[in-house]
Amino acid sequence: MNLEINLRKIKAISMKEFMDNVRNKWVLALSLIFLVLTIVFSYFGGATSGGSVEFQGYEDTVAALSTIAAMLLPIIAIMLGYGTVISERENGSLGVVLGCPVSRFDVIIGKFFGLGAVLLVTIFLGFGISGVIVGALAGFSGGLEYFLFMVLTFLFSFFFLGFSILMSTLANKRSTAIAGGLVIFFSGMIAGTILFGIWVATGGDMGAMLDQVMSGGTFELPDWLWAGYYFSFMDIYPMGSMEIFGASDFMGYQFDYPGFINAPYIFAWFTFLSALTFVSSLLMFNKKDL
Amino acid sequence: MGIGDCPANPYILEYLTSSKSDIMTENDHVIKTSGLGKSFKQVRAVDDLSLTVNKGDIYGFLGPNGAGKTTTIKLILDLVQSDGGEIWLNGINITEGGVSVREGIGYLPERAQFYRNLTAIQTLEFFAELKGVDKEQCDELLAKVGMDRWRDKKMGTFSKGMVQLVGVAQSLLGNPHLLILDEPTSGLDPRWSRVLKDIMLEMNAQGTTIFFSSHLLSEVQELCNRIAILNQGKLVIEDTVANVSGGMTHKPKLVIRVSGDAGKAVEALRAGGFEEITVHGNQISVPVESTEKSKVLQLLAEAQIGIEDFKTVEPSLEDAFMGYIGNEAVTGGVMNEP
Ligand SMILES: Nc1ncnc2c1ncn2[C@@H]1O[C@H](COP(=O)(O)OP(=O)(O)OP(=O)(O)O)[C@@H](O)[C@H]1O
Ligand SMILES: [Mg+2]
Repeated sequence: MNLEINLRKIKAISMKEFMDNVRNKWVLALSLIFLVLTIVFSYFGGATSGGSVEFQGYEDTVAALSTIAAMLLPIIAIMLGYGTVISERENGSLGVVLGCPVSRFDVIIGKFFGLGAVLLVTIFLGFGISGVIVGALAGFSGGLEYFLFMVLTFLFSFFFLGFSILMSTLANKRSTAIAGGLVIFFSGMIAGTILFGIWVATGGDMGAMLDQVMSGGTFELPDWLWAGYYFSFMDIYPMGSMEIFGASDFMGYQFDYPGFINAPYIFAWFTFLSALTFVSSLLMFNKKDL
Repeated sequence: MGIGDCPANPYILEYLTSSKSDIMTENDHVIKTSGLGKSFKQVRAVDDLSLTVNKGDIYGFLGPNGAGKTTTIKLILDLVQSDGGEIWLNGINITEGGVSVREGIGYLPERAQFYRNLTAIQTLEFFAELKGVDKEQCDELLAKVGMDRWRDKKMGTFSKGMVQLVGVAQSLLGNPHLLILDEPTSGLDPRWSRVLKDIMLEMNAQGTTIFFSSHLLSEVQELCNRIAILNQGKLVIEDTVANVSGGMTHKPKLVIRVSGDAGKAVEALRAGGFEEITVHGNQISVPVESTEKSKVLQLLAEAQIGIEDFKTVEPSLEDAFMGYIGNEAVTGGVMNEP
């Protein structure tokens, strides 16, 4: 099996994936969800952090929005991707596709493009339109940063999409594929807790830290802990989102990040992770019996 | 077969005029496998299989359930990885040829469902894109399999047979030089089964080689010039239909319905030297050489047994098939040692 690339075939496969999600109204539904979410968090988000109920600027909107997006987008991405290979293997259509002069590379790249386009379009439509509305009501300052936030949001969700496509190529049953997707979702949710657990177990003083940050001061955490946060995907994404605005918010408090927690690194990290899922999917799929 | 015999197929033309002259001599073999093997966890599904499908053949691939027919087809199309042996398509080793070795091949899988949310025409157009062929022919092909009325209905709403017919149309896209069909008539009613067989004959007359698996010996006997019988992953025989059915030691059978006691008839025949007699109710059958037929009837007349009816049954592919695979109800490949 080899890596011949044929643009026409890749386009046909990715268009089919994308159009499936247009036809079943997912593209519409997701765009609306993202739009409503942004408006709601921009308008009410300020109240939860002690501000007033009115439209906030981009930075405050993103601060409120990114923590919920960190939960929602992985779920959406996993739902988009987990069935894409396994269900076509189960119903036999993948055999017909690969019985054509089509390479396994074409199929995988077509699926990454097509489903990635679903995320790209819905994120840029949903967050984009609402971003314009927010800007019109609360001012356009920070607009570029907001745009970069959308890019990071796409990269973040694309990684989860890639991971679920990888699960879909590995699994021999749909249920296994979704279980694999859920594993990364939950591991992302508990990673931060585990990291702090290790820190406390190795002599970290949680009480001192809380006293310090709640009184408005900053607190130094060890570098390894921060480095570990690169594997706590649902934390590093909102941290990156705030870094874009030059704010070092973490769980709503101010911390002194080490230099390696910065927006460009976080962008690069999710790009790297996405590429990793792509290459792994390709390698795994090349060996699969249909 | 020369270039002029299949002008409709640009792939063959391109291939024949390509510079790969060293493999031209191999080019009469459209499909060739050598020592092909495949194990799934506990099962040896295909074992040391060497087949040759020649250009212009209608090649029937027979075997009981679980014999390894589908696995062989998937190996040929590189959908499943072999664990031994080699495969050539048009003389090109499939591990070296890249995706282009599958150009000009139409494939109809066993039980394909396709995409439930695509319409019949969208399905064909999608596969036309993947094959890099003109989409214009999609409507024509739907009409050919009687699915033009359902052109804009979703595949998910179709019956099994309707899906199969769209699958057939899909396999015909781009006027393939080789059709690989896995139980093509399964799920089709007699009328559409007939239409499909006519399409196969018509395509073959235009130069298309056809390789298909089947359980239906009658259709194999009707359509094929060559057949292979597979049992438990192993090739039992590969030859012309005539040689396979004629090569058996089976004699023709004389089947007689007697009016009286079948037991008495059997006694009379045994006394006359006929040993292998089978009885079903008042029907007895005796394997005989053609010169012995009158002797059997005479023996019965002498024993004063009334004959209601009789006929001669020539040895069929079915007898040959049962003879080759044995009567044990074996399904599946050989179990591997744990
Ligand atoms: N993906 C698979 N995993 C495990 N075993 C398999 C797989 N595919 C086929 N087998 C086994 O390989 C053997 C051959 O199966 P195959 O489907 O090739 O038979 P077949 O001749 O096409 O049968 P049928 O006439 O029923 O379609 C069977 O024992 C089957 O159980
Ligand atoms: Mg089969």
